[in-house]
This record gives sequence, structure tokens and C-alpha cells, in this order.
Amino acid sequence: MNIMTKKRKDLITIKELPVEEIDAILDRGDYWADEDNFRISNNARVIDNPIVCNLFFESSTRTRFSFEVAAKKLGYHVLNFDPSHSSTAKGETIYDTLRTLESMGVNCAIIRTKEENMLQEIAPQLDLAVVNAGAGAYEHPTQGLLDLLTIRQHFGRISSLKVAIIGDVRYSRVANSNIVALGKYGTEVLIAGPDELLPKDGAKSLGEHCSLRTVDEAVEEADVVMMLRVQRERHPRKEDFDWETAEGRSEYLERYGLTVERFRRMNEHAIIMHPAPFNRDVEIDGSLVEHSHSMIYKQVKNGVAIRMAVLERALS
Amino acid sequence: MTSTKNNNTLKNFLPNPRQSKIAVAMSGGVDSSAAILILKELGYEVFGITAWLIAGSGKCCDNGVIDAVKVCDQLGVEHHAVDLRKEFADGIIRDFHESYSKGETPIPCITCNNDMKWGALLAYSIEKLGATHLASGHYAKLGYESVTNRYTLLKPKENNKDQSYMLWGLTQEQLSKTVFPLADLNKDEVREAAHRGKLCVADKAESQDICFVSNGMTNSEYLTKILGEKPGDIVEVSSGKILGKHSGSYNYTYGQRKGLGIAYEEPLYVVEIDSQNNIVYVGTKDKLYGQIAIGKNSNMINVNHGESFDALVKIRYNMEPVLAKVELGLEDSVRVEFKEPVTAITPGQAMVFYDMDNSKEVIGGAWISEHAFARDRLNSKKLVNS
Repeated sequence: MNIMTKKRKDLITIKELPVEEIDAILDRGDYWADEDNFRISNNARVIDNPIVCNLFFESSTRTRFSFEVAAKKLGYHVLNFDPSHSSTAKGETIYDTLRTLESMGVNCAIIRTKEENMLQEIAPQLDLAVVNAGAGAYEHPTQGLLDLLTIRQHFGRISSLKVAIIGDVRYSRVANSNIVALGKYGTEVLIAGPDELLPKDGAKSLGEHCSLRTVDEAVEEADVVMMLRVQRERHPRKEDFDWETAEGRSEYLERYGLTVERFRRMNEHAIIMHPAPFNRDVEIDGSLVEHSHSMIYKQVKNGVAIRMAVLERALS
Repeated sequence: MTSTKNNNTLKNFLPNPRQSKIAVAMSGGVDSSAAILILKELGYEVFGITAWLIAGSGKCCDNGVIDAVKVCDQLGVEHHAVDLRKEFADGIIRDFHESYSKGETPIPCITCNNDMKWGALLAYSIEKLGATHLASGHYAKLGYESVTNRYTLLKPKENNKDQSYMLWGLTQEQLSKTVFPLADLNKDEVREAAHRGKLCVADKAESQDICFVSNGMTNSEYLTKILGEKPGDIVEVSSGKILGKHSGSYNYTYGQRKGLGIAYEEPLYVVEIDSQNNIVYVGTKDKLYGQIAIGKNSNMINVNHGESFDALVKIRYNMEPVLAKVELGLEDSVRVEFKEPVTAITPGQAMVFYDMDNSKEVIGGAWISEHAFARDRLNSKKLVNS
């Protein structure tokens, strides 16, 4: 099919979204995050309502469930497509599968995959909307959007803020999406973490708005302290860090994590964020997770709200 | 095996609701939809699961998945479609083709039950989705005998829909994780339940054809497309006279009378398919009878291997079971001698053994094997000749 005639709206990468469109998604996400709207009745579900399909080629109960809750709150039907073997995850096979789902009446496919560029290639050939639910280390646009929403809700703005992104920046698709998204608002991003987990070509390779700090500097300077989950499963050299012992894990916390001591040196107005799931007492001291400055559970709720906005947009 | 059952053993066995999470295998039809509704009403934690077996041309796999999703949404429970297309193509469909090219008449639904629903789907439900049991919309009943510590497979209340024949291959391990919610309901009660739950599939028509043969295609057209035309002779079995031509022996099944395209003084039936020499043998009705059937890959549900016993036996789905002596041999082979001769013992079909107490229970079964039938015929030929 012709790309120009595609009626439904994909969400593959934040890069391709103009700021106005991001704002529109955030506005709608804000609407759904409002308590009264969030408790939307599920009874209005109609048999002929749209059908969305979850295709998760990498397991993630959390994100899948967040999308499922979002879809069901909107009254959409949810088909969870479970690939039972790895051969389904090949680009060509995914394309065939999506074509079949399309002919079955599925209107939107929510896809998580290890492949970094596959979605860009196949989405334009399909009538159904493709929503990226995380692609390798490349991007996780709904996480980026929900983080923007969380920041905007707290500060009333996204620009003129300093956001520290700390930890496994190299292997985190969340970092990637957030850095791109924040760049669109001219927000300053401070990168910190162990050398092995920072971008090979330096902070500036991520954009002019990024600069390198030590963990201590970043924590003290930032308005938003965003800790990243250590993506052990994507590390090529597992021996770089000792995750097996309690000593190894607490060493990471001491050197690169958000300890209580570092938390005390944060700006008084600053907030803590983390794209769950977190490794308690590795990236962040367990006692800080539910601290009043922590937005971690708000992020989870905003995740549903922003995904409602994204699905509505996809099917509009 | 005991000859009389107390009421307790004939009760449909259900797991403890507080310790169970049941995956309900859903085709999108009314039976499996009613099954999940009933379990939910009984207080079980349930979710729907559909095996995605064929893409595109299947009858239940495309619309069926969507209907299953909608039913689950109506009930507010999760649904998963598990991609088993490769397993189905490499296993069930390939075996189906091979079986026909060997001159057999296969029943893929039984192997699909054993290997897909109670195989890959059950394994996935347990390992990946945390289920403890798999329920299906089959009309069958699960029993449990505490004395022998065995699960038993019983006939359901709805005798007209009895599907226990299709389930003889289930092992103790599989049965121990099985739930049959429709065991004590008849078809009207199942429809009623679906209407009560206002399920969107309540009035859906039934489908009973082989699911991977596309809509609008006959079995014969399908096999011709897959296996190609293989013209050969149709031979009268007693005289050896060539009576006509066929375009592929896979188009015939034992006992077939219609569609032979032969004019003869007496009605003729297919009595043997010799796929090696590509000959379809026909004969008068008396040639269709046999008294001994040999089976392979048997599965004994409520009798020990190595035992011999009398049983009521079905050699195809649509027949009244008949009395036979069953001898279990080595390596899952089995020899069945019928009290009275039976018609069309067909290789590839299943023989299922029921208990002598009014055939309330499937005690085991086996696949009818090709060679055995040939030997049986040979024996009867010798008898005729002597």
C-alpha cells in the first residue's frame, strides 16, 4: 500500500514526532490521567469496537499489561498474540503474521521486538497501526512520552529543566527515547554512570543538549534524577560487573546508584524517576522508591494514561 | 478396572477452585465459550487461550480467535493466542498427508488433541501463563479413582455429542491437568448458558470439518492439490479384474460405496487400499468384514499394559461399540478380536476401548495399523481358498 494513504497512525519513534504532536498526546494523556476520567467505565464495551493486538517477542508482563489495561479502559478488544518459538520473531514472519491479523480485523498491533529497525520497514506496508512497545536498545516511545508527561505534570513544563539520566545509558532504549524527546524541548540532559555503560562516542553523540557529569555532579545539579535499570541481558561483557554477590550489587549502588546520602544532596524541588522494573538496592536504595519525591508509581499510572492517548491516536 | 462404578467415580472431577488457574482452550465456538463462562461462574480464575494453528485459510483460526477474544472481553478475563503454526504444519498436517499417501484414512483431530491442545498449548499455559489446568469445550467427563490413583475418561451426559472417542490418547499426566466443564450438560443447556451470559457466539453454527482444509474445498480437492494426481487401477478383489481408474488412492476410504464410478451387478465397496502399488480394491459387502484388528501406539487409561480384557470397541466415531477381546502386546501394540465380524477396519482410524458396563468409560485406545489389516484380509482369503 501507499504510505501516503495510510489512515491509521503508527508510533515507531519519537524522532519523527513534531513537538506539537507530542504536546497533543501529552494533553490527551493528562486528560486520561485525571482521576475522574481514569476511572472510566468498562461497561461501554461494544462487540464491534476496535481490536488491538499485543505481540511481544521479548517478554514484558509490565508493558504488555499496561497496554492491555489502556486498551480495555477505552473499550477495545485485546488479542494477546504469544509467539511460542523464536522463528516467529523474524521480520518477514512478523510481516506475514501482521497481514493475517489485519485480515482478521485487528486494527492496531502493539509490538515489542529485539530488532531495532524492523518496525520502520514493515509499518508502512500495513493498514493496521503499528505501535512500538520497545525495540531492542533503540527506542521505547511510550515510555519516553509517559516520562515527559510525568515531568510536565510536576513542573508544568518540560523545557528549561535539567534532567539527569544515570546508569546504563548505552543499553537502555528508555534513555534513548527520553534523550530524543527531551531534545525536542531543548531540555538539558546530564549523562552519568560507569564508563562501560555510557555511549561509546561520548555524551554529545546523543545530541547537543547532552553533557557528561559524574554521578554526584548530576544528582546535585538536576531537577529530575532519572535512574536507569541495569540492562544485564543486553551486556556483551557480563563479567564487567559482579551482579551475583550482594557485595557486587551494593558496590554498584555506592558508586553509581541513588543512595540516601546522594538523595540528601539533591535539589529540594527535584524528583526521582525510574522506568520500572527496578533492581532494588542496585540502581536505587530501596527506601527511596516510595519516598514523596519519587514519581515511580505515578509513572506506572501515567503509563496507562499515555498508552490510552497513543492507542486513541493510532485508531483515530 | 472395576466392573461397577460407584457414583463417586462417575462424578465429573473438578480441581479445587482456590488452588487452580484454568486455561480454557477456545475455538471461538459456542461450546468452548460456554465452558469458560461456566468455570468463571463456578468461581475459578480463568483465562482464554487459542492455539493459532493455520494462518489465513483456516476456518476457526481467524474468525475464531477474534470471537474468543470478544467472549473473554465480555467476561472480563485475559485471552492469549499462541502461535503454533509451525508445530501444526510440521506435525499434524504433515502426518495427515503422509497417512493418506500410505493408504490410510487419518483423524488429525485426535493427534491435534494429543500434541497441540494437550501438548504445546497445555505446556505453554503452565510454563508461561501460570495455569494449573487446561479446560476444553469437549463433551467428555473426567473421573478419578482413588483406589488406583488414576484419572479416568468418561462419557458425558450428552450422549449425542460424546467426544470421548477423540480423547483416548490422553495420558494420565495430561488427564491430571484436564477440566471438562460441559461433562454434565446437554447441548441445549450449553446454548442456554451462552445466552444467559449474553455471549456474542451464542447462536454461532457448529463446524465439524477438518479445519485446515480451506473453505469451499472438498477433502479430495485438497489432497489432489497437495499430493498431486496419481492415476491407478480400481480392481475387483476376488477376480482381480480391473474395473476402472482412479486419480489418486487417497480419494478413497475403506467401506466407501459412493463415487466409485463403476457399474457392476452388485453394490461394490472399497475393501483395501494398496498405496504401494497404487491399487484401490473393491468388492462386494461380504469382503468388507474382518474380525481381527491390530493396533499400534496404544494408550491405556484405566487398564494395565500387558493385560488382556474384554471390552466394547469402536473402530470409528459413528458406530455402536461392539464386543471384542483386547490383547495388549509389546511396545504399545494391541490385537483386537471381535466377537462378530465388523465392517471396514480402516488403517489410520482409531479403535477405542470402552468398559463392559454399558460403555460409560474409555479405558484405552490404539491406532489401527495398516499391516494388521492386510494380514487379517490375507487370513480370511486363505480361509476362503481352503
